[in-house]
Amino acid sequence: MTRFGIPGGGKTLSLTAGAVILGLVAGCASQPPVELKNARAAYQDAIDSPGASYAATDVYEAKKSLQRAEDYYHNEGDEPETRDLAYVAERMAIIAKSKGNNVIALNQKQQAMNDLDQWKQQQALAARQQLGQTQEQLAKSQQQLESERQARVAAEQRTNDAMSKVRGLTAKQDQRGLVLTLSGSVLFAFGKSELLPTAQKRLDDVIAALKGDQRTITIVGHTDAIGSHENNMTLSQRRADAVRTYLTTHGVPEDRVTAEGVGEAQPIANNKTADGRANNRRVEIILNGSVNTQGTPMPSGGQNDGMNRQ
Amino acid sequence: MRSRERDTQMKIIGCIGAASIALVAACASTPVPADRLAKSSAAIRSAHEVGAERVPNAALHLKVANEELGLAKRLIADGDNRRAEYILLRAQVDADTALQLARENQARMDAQRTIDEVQRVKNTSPQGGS
Repeated sequence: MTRFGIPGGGKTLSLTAGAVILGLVAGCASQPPVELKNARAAYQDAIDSPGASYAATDVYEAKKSLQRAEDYYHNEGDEPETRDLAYVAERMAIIAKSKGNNVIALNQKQQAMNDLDQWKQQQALAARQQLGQTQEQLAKSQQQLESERQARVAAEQRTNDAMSKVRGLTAKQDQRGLVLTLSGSVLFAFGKSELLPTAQKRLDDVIAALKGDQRTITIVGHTDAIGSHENNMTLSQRRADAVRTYLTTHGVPEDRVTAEGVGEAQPIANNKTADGRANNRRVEIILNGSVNTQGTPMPSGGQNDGMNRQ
Repeated sequence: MRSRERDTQMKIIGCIGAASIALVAACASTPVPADRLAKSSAAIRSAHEVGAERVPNAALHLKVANEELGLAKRLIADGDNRRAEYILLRAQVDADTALQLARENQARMDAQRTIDEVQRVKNTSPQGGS
């Protein structure tokens, strides 16, 4: 009869079976408790974790704790205390790994904030560069505008100077601009709106003086107070139109010139005297927005003294 | 023959009695682990304060720590101070683990929130993100 009841077995078999059982028992006895296995695995996991170097002290404490459990197991075997110490060692390894992860998270946060700061600095730099370029362009534009303004002023000044030399013309500056006044008797026969030959010479001089000037022009026809208001309005409009037509057919762009008749509404002298009425019969050529509105003085104090060279 | 059996029984009873006395003496010689009890309780409180019960893996450790604290108190009441001390050690380390896992969770969330915020700022910038 075999010890374990194995059929056909003899003494040798009984001995072998006994050895196997003893071996198994010995094997079981040498198996460390699961807590210790877990502690070893947890410690290995901790030291392999990317944050291990950030939690060196905690990893060291976990190592010491594991060693305590190992020593206890070595000396006392699988006792409840062995399991307790291994349990503690496992948790300490988990804590060590977690602290490393904690530092990594803090570093990631700091890195993100640093990235943001750096990005903001780059944005600020780009904005400053953009601002610099804009300012540079603005300065160039202003410089160009100033050059153009100066050129315009110079051109207008030349026009004003030229106008001051035109015979039969009075030039003066008022809020409307540079006002060139031509006597009606020089331009038209009494009650007519056709230009006299002498008028054409005057207007040719005006056109020559206008060369290079970019100001818009308003032509205003005036009459004296003789006759009906309606007739005076019509006559003054025709005369203004006649001057406009002459100018535009001699090189002055049409879109720069407008004409209007105001009849006897804006006298500059007494209509009761012949001289006064002669002065009221006139055509004004107004160069709108003259240089003087921008501070450049008119020659001869704004009045073409002695310009009325009829 | 009967006399020998009685002697043997008496010896066994004597041994058990002696062992019981020795055990009681041993238990009585281990003082109540008041310091360990206080440390474990404090560790559990700290874990609660950081909200460990709201972080799943931390909550598990905190629950175990509470259970271990309860067990240790029962052991102390039964006079098993030595065993209670080890159980309190477990409770303390479980509470510490819960505390640390909760902190790690908080740090991770903070980091992710910051990263997301940085990305949002970059994306909403007129110049766009880099």
